[in-house]
Amino acid sequence: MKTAARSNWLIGFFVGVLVFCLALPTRAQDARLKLAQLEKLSAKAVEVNNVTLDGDMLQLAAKFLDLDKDDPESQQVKSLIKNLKGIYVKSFEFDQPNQYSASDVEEIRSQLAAPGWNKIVESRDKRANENDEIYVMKDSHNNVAGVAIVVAEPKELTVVNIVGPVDLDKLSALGGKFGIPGDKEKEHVKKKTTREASHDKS
Amino acid sequence: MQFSEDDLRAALRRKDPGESFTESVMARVNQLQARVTSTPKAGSQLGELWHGLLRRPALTGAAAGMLIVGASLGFVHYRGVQERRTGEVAKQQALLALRITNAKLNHVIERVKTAQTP
Repeated sequence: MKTAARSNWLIGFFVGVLVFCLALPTRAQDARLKLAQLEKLSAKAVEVNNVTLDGDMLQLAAKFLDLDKDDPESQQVKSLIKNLKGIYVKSFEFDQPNQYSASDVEEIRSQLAAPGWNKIVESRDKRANENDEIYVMKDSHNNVAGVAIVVAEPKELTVVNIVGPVDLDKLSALGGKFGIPGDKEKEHVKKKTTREASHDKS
Repeated sequence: MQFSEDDLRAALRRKDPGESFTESVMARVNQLQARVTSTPKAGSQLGELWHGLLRRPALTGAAAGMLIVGASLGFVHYRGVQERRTGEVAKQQALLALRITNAKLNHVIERVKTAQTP
């Protein structure tokens, strides 16, 4: 009887350890969203930006950013990406409104409704028909384990998914650094685009 | 044992080799000629080089070593070029991703700020 009870206890213990080991990687990959279903929008879009950077490619990118050791901005960008496990961006710009369906966005939102994700920012503008959301996933130590940004405008749909510890403040403050246009540059580009558009009309 | 003069004369007397002698000699000559001409045909210049290398093992070793070192250096260079190219693509992709993320993040923050201002 004693032997049977001990073997049962051992089996239970090993099953528990196995389940725990299997659950660990699943928990770590939770922050990655499935964005493949958005691929179909590429055919309708006039501009597509599709970035898929897994761990190895990110490490390689960090290594190449590290080559500019004297440049503090490169080091800042490197420090931002070096601990990340993945960056996935899908951005579509259309020349006509309503080129993507609500179900396309709902599919992303349903993944973000899973446990672990928290919506930290939501901006809905019915007049402009624009919905913007920022989600954050935190790990058991309350550290950021992933970020998702969904920007749905009438002529644009952008989904950003960052897997790994990311500092949103640092990310937001990157403007104007290392080829990332800042507010002034963005304003300049905006004015230039508007000027070009009005010139084309005339 | 003693030889008489007649015995010696008889031994040194000319003998007719017979008709088959000429044929056998010609056959032997043809056989030798065929062997001589067939050797360079099979090996040609490469064969000669190969035989030359076999005769000089030190030279052969040095040539093989140089070939291996050259091939290794070429492979390392190729790998380096490939890695540099992939690294540059990865860096540009990372910057593009950060540029889009930064723009969208600030766009959302700006919209929230605008919505909060009375």
